[in-house]
Amino acid sequence: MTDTTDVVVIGGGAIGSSVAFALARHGASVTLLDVSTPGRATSASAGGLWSLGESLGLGCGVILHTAQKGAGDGPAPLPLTFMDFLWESNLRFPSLAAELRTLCGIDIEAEAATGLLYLVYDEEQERHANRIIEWAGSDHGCVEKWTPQHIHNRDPLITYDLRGAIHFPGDNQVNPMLLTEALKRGACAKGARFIAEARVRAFQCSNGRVVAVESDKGTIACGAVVNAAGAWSAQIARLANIEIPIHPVRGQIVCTEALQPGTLRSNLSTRDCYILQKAHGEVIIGSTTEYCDFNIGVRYQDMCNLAAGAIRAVPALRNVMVKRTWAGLRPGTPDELPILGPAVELENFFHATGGFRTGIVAAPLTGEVVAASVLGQTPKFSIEPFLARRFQSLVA
Amino acid sequence: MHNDVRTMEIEFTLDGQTVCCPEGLTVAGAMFHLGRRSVRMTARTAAPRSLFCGIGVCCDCLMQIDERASIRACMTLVQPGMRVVSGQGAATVALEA
Amino acid sequence: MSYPGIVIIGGGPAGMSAAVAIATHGLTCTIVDEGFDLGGQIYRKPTNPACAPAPHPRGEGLRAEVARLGEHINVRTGDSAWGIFDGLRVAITSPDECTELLQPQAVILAPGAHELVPPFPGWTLPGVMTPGAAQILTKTMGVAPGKRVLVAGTGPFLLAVACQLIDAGVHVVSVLEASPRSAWLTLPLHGFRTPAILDEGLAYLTKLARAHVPVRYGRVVVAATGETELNAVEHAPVGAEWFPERNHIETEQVDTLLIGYGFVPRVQLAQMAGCDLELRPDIGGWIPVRDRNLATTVSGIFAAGDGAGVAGSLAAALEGQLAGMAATQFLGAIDEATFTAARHTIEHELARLRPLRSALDKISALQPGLMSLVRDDTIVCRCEEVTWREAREAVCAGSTTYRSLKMTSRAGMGACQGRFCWPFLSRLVAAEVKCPLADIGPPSARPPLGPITLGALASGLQDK
Ligand SMILES: Cc1cc2nc3c(=O)[nH]c(=O)nc-3n(C[C@H](O)[C@H](O)[C@H](O)COP(=O)(O)OP(=O)(O)OC[C@H]3O[C@@H](n4cnc5c(N)ncnc54)[C@H](O)[C@@H]3O)c2cc1C
Ligand SMILES: Cc1cc2nc3c(=O)[nH]c(=O)nc-3n(C[C@H](O)[C@H](O)[C@H](O)COP(=O)(O)OP(=O)(O)OC[C@H]3O[C@@H](n4cnc5c(N)ncnc54)[C@H](O)[C@@H]3O)c2cc1C
Ligand code: FES
Repeated sequence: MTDTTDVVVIGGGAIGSSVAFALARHGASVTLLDVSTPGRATSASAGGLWSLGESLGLGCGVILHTAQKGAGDGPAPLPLTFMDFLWESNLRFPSLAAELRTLCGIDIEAEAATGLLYLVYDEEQERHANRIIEWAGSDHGCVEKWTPQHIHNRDPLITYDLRGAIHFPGDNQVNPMLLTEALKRGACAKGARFIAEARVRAFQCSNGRVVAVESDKGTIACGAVVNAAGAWSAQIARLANIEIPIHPVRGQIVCTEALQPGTLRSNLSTRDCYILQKAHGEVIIGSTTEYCDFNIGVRYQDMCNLAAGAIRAVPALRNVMVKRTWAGLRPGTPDELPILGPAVELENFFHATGGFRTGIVAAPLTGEVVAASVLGQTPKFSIEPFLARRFQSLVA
Repeated sequence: MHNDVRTMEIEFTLDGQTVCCPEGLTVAGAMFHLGRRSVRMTARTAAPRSLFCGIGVCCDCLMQIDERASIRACMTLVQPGMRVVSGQGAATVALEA
Repeated sequence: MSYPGIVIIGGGPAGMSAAVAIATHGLTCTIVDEGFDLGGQIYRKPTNPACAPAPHPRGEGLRAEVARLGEHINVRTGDSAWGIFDGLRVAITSPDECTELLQPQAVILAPGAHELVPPFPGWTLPGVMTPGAAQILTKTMGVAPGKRVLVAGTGPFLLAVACQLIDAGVHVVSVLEASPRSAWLTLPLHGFRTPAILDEGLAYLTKLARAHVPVRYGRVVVAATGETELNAVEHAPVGAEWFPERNHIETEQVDTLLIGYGFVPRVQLAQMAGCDLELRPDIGGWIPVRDRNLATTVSGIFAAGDGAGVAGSLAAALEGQLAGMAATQFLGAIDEATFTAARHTIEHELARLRPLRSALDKISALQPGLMSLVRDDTIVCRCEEVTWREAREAVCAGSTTYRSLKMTSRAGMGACQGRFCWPFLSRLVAAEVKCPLADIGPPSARPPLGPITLGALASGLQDK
């Protein structure tokens, strides 16, 4: 028996669920297929909505170091259009949270006014911080410099042994799993269908179009396909003879036991790690950026490093229990920008991948623009810079 | 069951009060000895918990011991002067002096 | 760091026997055990000097052997092994919060088992605990678990603990055994090759009878009640498959309930090391796949004792000896012929123990009725306080793997890493998706296995 649907979305992470939700909202009939693969980025992620911090390379200080080397003195290691994209997406969280709460009763724990603090330990970091403040301060009015005293007044557990911090008031956090679950259920509430443990195995193509998707749970005839399989999306594309340069980028996380809510008020980022307390009380300490295979093991040395980095920033964490460690696979691209929109090779095959280290904050807008693109509408935000064809010469 | 050995009493603090128990007791054992079987309140429903598996697997018996947030009371011997605090919900951390 | 030799995790009968076998053949080894002393669960030494040591000739013998071979055996009691990395590197943390990475050439996993308790209303109340927990209180510390004690569950361990409590002067009200008496009466047929074990069981029964402690067969605890501590237990006779007959519930006023339905192997380190597991409900659940030499599917890692399939202390010691010799041979320190001959003898001994053990396993095998005790508001995941309703709704909404159930309901996300809820929840999932339990899989194991502080973890940095 063959099922029929307008659009098959492959991958039930934050991105695929958001695309399915946006499509369903437009009245398209959608089927979302997923398997729970260990290492899926959404489940592993920290859930930071650091639209500015991340696009400036400060979401995780480890990145800053590499960014500094590559980008010289420039404060923005990633193109401005991308920063605007994340900014726009981030602005959607408050209304999205309200909509999802009404629609499916899930609180996605989108916090307002937590803010991201980039802790500045030494002179070199301070010089860089000053440049960022000069550059962005006037423009977005969304970056402030904080003194150690100011930091202490707000978050007394943060070390006094620093020179100050940059505060990004708009960079908050969300619970990535609840966000995804809510988007999924929201999509279903709007008529979409979700099939769990349906591994996509093959595509049936004819005349330059995909006509059906074959999965472990049956074959589905469809009008279009969205590839949102995260780090695995190159494998999915390959099933349709499409090459995209997506590779897994491992990130390891150390998670503590639940602490009293409000133990840490800000999201923190340092040159060693980032640190944020989730609504449930656990503190998440991340992360590494490793170009690797699909292995999701954690490494002893990296865990020790993350722990030491966290204690440097918040000494009292020394006495807190480590509850668990894990690793996830970010869908990485060579230029660190997502791959969104139509494939070059097949007319009705669309990408929604390459979320890399900002796939959670990017999820709302990614869903909207990819849905628009699938439905033949003009996306509200131009996806020109994110089209797969920019890699034509690379993969040819 | 008891030998004729005279055992030492050990002094430690429990929730700020000085208490005593014979040597060679785990913190969980000392709690039972003191007639306080509940060792903590849970975070979500504020329900009392006590010793359960006894061998360090279930993590029901977590207590704050010498400033460390959550130590297994069944796997830790009472030491003289130890500071034991029964948990009240999610763990707390103290500012470093 | 000095060379650890072969690292043995667990210093119970299996771990100690492995160490003795290794040291006897001239190799060095390190026993890591987070307990206060060597001995494991059965041969635990009193920590309170006022407690008379239990007469365990076997345990004392093994401890003496280990001491005699001390030149070749490093004993690291108090240290917890919490992770295995890159195959054979074992991360351990000491009680004073120092973390280091041992880098042996072979590892023997002998971590033993923990007790199994399926969820029922009231099982989180203070005063409800495993028989093993109460045994440790009385036997090693001289502390009574409570004043009026009910012992329930299945298996001969209940009788042993009840007797130990009586010896310690604790009032045991009764022992409830889930299996019918008729099943127990068949045991002598299977135990003729191991009469000493049968005698031990009979001695327990005699002692309980003398102390006027009734052993009531075919009954299960259906609920525990109390405000801040246990004050009553409800139990009922069972019909087929241990489903309780709820119209015959009896209530007993007790302040302590010791409840255990057998043992579950502690396989998390094997899992972290990447060893393949297989499901063997008859011997406790998921166990590492092993070959004849007790080698797991990861080269250089061996597994022995209850942690590799529950078989009791005698089998554990034999397995430990075999694993020790196999690891020694793996490193080239015993020749093939010697090893094969020794293995032959050990296998013969193990075979002798098997008939009685299998019969016991059958009598005490978990029955579906035990899975029916939960109510909507019963906590199924003790750590994260997830109720049966929440877990069930998540499963019905499609969360049918350990990972997805954890993500949506938080069940299994706690400090015990699903060790207590998953034996129950996996059966629920299997029933929901109508597939064999084996397809559902074990909970995933993530370092750190036990709680260690961030400070302890950070201290590992010095160890490059
Ligand atoms: C440690 C870590 C921390 C992070 N922190 C942040 C952060 O703070 N903020 C932020 O914005 N971003 C963060 N990210 C990045 C973010 O998590 C990702 O960009 C985002 O989750 C990507 O979502 P996705 O849906 O594309 O991929 P995924 O979540 O990986 O989902 C892809 C899905 O496709 C499924 N799939 C694969 N193959 C098939 C198949 N054949 N058939 C069907 N389904 C298939 C997979 O099983 C998976 O469920 C972090 C990532 C990591 C690893
Ligand atoms: C609480 C309890 C009490 C028991 N009492 C009895 C009894 O009285 N009589 C009886 O016949 N059987 C008893 N048993 C069953 C008993 O486990 C076995 O018969 C026998 O002890 C198994 O021997 P073993 O060497 O395989 O494991 P064990 O004796 O369990 O030894 C395993 C050792 O490994 C250590 N360990 C485990 N994981 C780690 C780690 N990650 N790091 C460091 N150390 C670790 C443990 O501390 C333990 O000392 C008991 C079981 C339990 C759980
Ligand atoms: S009682 Fe289970 S860990 Fe202490």
